[in-house]
Amino acid sequence: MRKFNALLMREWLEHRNSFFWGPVVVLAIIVLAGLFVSSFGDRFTAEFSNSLPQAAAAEGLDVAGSTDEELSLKLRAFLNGIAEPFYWVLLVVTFFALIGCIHDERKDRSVLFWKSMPVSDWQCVVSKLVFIVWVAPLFTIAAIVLAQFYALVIGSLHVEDGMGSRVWSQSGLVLKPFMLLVGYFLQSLWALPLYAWILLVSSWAKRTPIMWVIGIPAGLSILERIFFESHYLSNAIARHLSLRGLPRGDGDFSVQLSVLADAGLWLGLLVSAVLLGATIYLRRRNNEI
Amino acid sequence: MAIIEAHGLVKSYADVNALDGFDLTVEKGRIVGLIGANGSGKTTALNTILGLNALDTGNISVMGLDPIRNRAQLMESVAYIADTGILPKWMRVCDLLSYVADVHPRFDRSIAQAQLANTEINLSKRVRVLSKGMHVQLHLAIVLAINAELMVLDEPTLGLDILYRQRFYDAILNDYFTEDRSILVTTHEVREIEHILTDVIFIHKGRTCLSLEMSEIASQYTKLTASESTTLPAEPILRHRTLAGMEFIFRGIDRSLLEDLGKVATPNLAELFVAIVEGN
Repeated sequence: MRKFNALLMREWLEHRNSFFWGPVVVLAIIVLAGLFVSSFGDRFTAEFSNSLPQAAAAEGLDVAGSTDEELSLKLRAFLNGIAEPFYWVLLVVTFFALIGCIHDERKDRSVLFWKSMPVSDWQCVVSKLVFIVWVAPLFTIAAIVLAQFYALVIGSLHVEDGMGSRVWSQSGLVLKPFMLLVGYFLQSLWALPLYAWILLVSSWAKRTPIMWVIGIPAGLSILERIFFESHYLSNAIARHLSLRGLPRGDGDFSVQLSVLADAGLWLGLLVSAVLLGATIYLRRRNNEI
Repeated sequence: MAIIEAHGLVKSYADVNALDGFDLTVEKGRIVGLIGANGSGKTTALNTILGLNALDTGNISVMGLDPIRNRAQLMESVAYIADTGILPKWMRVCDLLSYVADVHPRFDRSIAQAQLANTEINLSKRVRVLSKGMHVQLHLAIVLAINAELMVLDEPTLGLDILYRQRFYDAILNDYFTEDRSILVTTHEVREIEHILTDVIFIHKGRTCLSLEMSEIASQYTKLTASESTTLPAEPILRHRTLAGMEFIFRGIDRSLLEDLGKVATPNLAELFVAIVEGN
């Protein structure tokens, strides 16, 4: 356990810039935007409409005129909108971390040092996957929770008098972090074959792994289309690329958990296991480039 | 039991036989020099011993383990410097020490830090900003702090200036080597390690062409420096023209037969290497 923690710590030291500072920067932008809206927004809207309820209406909330159900749906859309930029940044950061994590150490030849330590190849590969897919995104989720809380604070200050408490009660904020975690975890299982594929290319490609990550599946899909006139591969990739709304932590748990009943999930996990096995084999066999 | 036992190792890459029936034995308490030209299979041989390469055929056991299958376990008792400049450049020195301390059960951080205290290496610096010499010093400090039965060094002083080289081997001898430990070292700067070796192995085209204790060289090989027209009592394995005259290297000859013909001496490793490889 001490060894595995050290491996995770190693990954953290290598990737902290992107996984930590990425969400922090998005959070900072949202905070600044919120401050801008609360200090100048009123004045702007006041000039145009002279009343705060209309300002809130302009934001699309219209708290007073909504039923609880409508309000809850609107707030959900609002909070999802806040989470969106975080997920885009996380997606890009995860992609590049996975693509580089084995390739880079082969390229700078530090793999020869890592292999001189009593750490097996499977421990190494698994620690990279666990850190990048399941540990590092916790920063993003924490940042989303903070940003959503902040957005509700700003939002509740800008709705009609006395309506702030309805915003809070209909936001579902208490359960939100939970839903985000479960949603993210399910989404990561759903996308795992894609992550494992990137890791495999990272352990195999001699140069420009990004080209192979995209090129091989694209090429195979085209060949399948030409020779078999079918689209199984491209459909499967597209299916696992889609987030299925999972990371948003929408709806209730039953909606999220329904993904567990999808055979595609289990087939994907099987494919992931094969790809990871191949990655571990290649990590053992390949040294410096 | 020998620390390293390797027989008939064969490894090919594409159309090149990097190892072609290589044999090697390293006993406890020995410092073995593996000497060969570039492309002779030295590095492939070491990588095989360290579990970095799979073999095509051959038997190898290092400390009783199969290095390919049990690399992680083997690395608990083997310390190696595969090359210079391979420490992760993005890491801080102190984080690197913490990592090794956490994953390596036989690493003593205080020894590494005592070693580093004698250098100008600052623990809060990143590896990237260290000079080449400091990088080697750091790697050496880490390796010396591992209580390993076997140390493997592959061209450890490549590209270093002469002061560092001397200090490097001094540290290995003074701070690491004991009769319970073994060292396997490759280099093409033969002169540098000649005086510290107990055994020598020559590798040429992936095969072992000489395996000898250093103390046996004088009894088996003789160098005669004489004029070109000297009538020789036996056929030498090498003739070589130098400024001082012709040099002849003999194997298994009675030295008294040569003493009247010119200057008799024991060939050094570089001369012996040329003689054996050319003689093949």
